Amino acid sequence: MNTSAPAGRVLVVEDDRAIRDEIADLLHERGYQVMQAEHGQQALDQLQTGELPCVILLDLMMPIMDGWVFRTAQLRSPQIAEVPVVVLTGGGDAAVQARNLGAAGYLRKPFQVEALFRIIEGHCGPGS
Amino acid sequence: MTAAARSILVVEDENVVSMDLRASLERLGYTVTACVGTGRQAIDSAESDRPALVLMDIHLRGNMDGIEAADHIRRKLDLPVIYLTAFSDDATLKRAQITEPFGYILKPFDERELHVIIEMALFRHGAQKEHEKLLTEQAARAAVEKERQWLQFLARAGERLSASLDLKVTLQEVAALAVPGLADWAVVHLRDEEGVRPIVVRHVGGREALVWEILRRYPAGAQVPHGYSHVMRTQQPELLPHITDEVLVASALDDEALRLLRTLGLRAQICVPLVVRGEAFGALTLAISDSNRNYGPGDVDHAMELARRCASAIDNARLYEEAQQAVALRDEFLSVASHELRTPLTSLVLALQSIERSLARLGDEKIVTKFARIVQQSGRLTELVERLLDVSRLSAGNLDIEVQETDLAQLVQDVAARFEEEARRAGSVIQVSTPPALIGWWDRVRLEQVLTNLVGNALKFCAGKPVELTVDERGGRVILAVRDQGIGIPKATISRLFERFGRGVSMRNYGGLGLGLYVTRQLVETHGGRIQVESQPGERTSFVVDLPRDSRKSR
Repeated sequence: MNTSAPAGRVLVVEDDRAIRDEIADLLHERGYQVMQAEHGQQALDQLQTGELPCVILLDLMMPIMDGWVFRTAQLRSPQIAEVPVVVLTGGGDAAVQARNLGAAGYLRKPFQVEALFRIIEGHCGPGS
Repeated sequence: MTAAARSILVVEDENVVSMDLRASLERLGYTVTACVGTGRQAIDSAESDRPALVLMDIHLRGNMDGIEAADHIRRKLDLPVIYLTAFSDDATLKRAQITEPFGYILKPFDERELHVIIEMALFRHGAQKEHEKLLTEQAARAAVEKERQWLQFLARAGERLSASLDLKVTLQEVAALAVPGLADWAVVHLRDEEGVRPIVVRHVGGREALVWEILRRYPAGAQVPHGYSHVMRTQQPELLPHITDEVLVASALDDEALRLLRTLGLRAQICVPLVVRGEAFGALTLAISDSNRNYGPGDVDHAMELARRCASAIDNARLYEEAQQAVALRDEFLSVASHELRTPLTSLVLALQSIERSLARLGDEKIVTKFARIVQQSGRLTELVERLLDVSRLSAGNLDIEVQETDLAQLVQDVAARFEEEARRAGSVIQVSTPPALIGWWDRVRLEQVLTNLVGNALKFCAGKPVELTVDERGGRVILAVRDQGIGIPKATISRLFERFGRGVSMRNYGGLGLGLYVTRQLVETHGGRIQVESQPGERTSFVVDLPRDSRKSR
């Protein structure tokens, strides 16, 4: 966990608005702060503002800049490279993708709320 | 020599000379079959008596002179003729020469000279006949040999054609078989989206490059009256036993093309269409340039036979390719569909679960119960979407399992717990029997899928009686069993139980796109395991899964 960041902030990178909104709502209710991005470029911009999240939920298939390109850029940038990433994907090879990206975990769409909470808690601690 | 071998017909209209000749011939030991005086009589006599030789006076009375009669006798009866002549002008001698006589005797004749010329003529004629016989025998043997080569070629070509679905490779092999055994050149043209193109070119001397160049630069247009395009249009074979320059001129589109064609030195050619279902989609050309042989109608028949087999093989290859493309397209669609469906499902599931939690806080039992059912259905939808993806991946052969350290005992307990509610509703109960722990290497998610499928099925058909779920270890392997005492499975259905999509396949496959048990078996086998079913209709059913302890080794 990134100790310089306040616990309880999550960056959700997902191009589908409905999914993004649901996740944001659920995490918000749970007491986490939620940052949102529609694609990889927006995510990078958010991370440049200096407020680092304790975990990034990363969709892979997005327009403009997809999850793979984002991850590469993230790893090249020392200030943000350490933030753990959890891959969100509908693909059957989710585990393989996660491993290839050096992700800390994955959630296969569609996933259960409990699974989401468990994994966020693991990286950010319980919400306030 | 027999008497017949020394029989002579005398054709001489001067009586005195005729009698003189007869006397001399008989003195020399020959038999005179007849002495006649006109051309007509000569022909009749020769036809009826068949002498070994004819002495023919050039100048005869009547409409037909000796030369005419001799010509008829030589051509129709194949008898040697010697001309008798006192004097003849050049024109007459020229005419006489054309009839290919076996000699001339000047009148008055010398008996010794007569003897020598006759013997020489008989000998030469005999030798000629021997030679002809030899040639005929040789030709017959060559024909038999060629026939043998054709049959051998057709057999081998047939094997190759049915052995491979890779068209290009197969056609190259067929061409290789034809050259040089049956042709100096072999070319195959096929039609594709871009038009008719040469696919294979083979030459005994390796000069393929030249022909590729010609074919590339001058594809035959509709106006060329020979060769592959003509044959494809007419759907009839073409035999050119002697390729004349006229043929080349007619086939060449310009002077340069004509020049190139001439350098090939083609002497004979057979071209046959490749026809399937009434459509000509290609042509096979066999040609002779370097070697000393010919093509005849028999060769065309064989070439047609080959063309039929090629056409059939090509058709098969194309159908196979189309089928494969169709399957690939279907799988791609399923994969995309599965992916697309996940997106709305994701937010739907999250929203439903979120509302479910809120409703629980409100405490309205009815709404909570109803909502639980909604959530359950969304779970089912999710499962169906997963199955869609499974099908496409199974077909593509890349259903990979992610093996990890798993506690099977714990997994079995978890699954049983999840089905508690459903069991209660079915008037049944799940009896679990496991050791305290059972660690092994399997794909946890996939084994959960297997168990879910089997237990779910059991509950559907358990007829209110308990369902037994057991797991234990036996000799390094792990045995998983799901047993119910329900309606059972009819014998006829058991054999097709693990197949997919079948109509009339057991109800146990119903409600899951007809895939549940099919996928289950694939998953079990990918782990290196086996699944078996046993059933007594009306009494009980048991599914037994046998797995290795460590599935990493079975991959």
